[in-house]
Amino acid sequence: MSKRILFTWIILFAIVFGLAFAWKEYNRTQASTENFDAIIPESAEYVIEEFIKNEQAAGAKYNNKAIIFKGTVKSIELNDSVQTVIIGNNLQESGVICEFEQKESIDLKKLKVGDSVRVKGICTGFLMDIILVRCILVK
Amino acid sequence: MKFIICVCTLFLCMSESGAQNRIIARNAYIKFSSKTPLENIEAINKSGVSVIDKTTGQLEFSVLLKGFSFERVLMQEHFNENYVESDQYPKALFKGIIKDIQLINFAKKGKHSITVNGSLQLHGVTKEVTVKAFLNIQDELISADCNFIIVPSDYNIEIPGLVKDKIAKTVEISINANYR
Repeated sequence: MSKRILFTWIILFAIVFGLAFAWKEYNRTQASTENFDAIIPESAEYVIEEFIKNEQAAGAKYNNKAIIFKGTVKSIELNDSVQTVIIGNNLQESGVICEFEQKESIDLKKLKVGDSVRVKGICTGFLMDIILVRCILVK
Repeated sequence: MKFIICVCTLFLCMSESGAQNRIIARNAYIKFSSKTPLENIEAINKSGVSVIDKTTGQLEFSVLLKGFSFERVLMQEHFNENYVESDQYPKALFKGIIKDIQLINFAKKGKHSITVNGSLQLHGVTKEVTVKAFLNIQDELISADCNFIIVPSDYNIEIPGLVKDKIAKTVEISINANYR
């Protein structure tokens, strides 16, 4: 095979590979929260304190990371657009807002205020509460 | 001793009434949309936080930019890393005053059209904005809905030349918040 033909095949292969990679990247979906290694902090109250003391440092430590919190259910809101559970304790106004995906709805319907739960989710930061998205219940 | 008890009681009553004057929404729903002939882009955030003081009309709204969820992961990454730079500027914050708040009777059910004058801080830039909204007073909660437009370039959000035809020059924001 002449060098010219070989070179053409290599270029063609590189283009096809590049297009396939770009298509795969473009259509990439969110990794499942189950597959993330999680931080298990001392308590939600400890993390809240960290955010209140130094939001930037706490953000660098926790944002975009999976965290597992154990807490008591303070409120539940389930409808077509929102699946949110707030966990915390009665001594502190701030808690953890946990946004769940639709696939968790069957298990979420079994929850009641006052139940003890473990939740794993991706931290997006702190407003009045720590906010976790893409949450799953951890047994 | 009686004087101290009276002062403490008065202080507690004032604190309690102050707390009752404030209503809070913890799961505000925010959507932004960019529409072009090439592509429509939408992102949703379900955890905005807002506080209204019913006496003074002060309204604050904040949202974590990392909480916006896009249809495509790649768009979400570009949004956070290149456009809003959410590691450096994690929140968007609005502070304003509801005009003529004293005309609204929060004890009576009804729907009110309101105007909120304030400032929006996004990507390290603060701009004065005026937003028109609806306040719907019901038995157990008060809900607010609004739509407004922002111009990303006003907030130094730069869109790369390669994708500038896919992202609109103006972005529509829709908000729904339930206050308790």
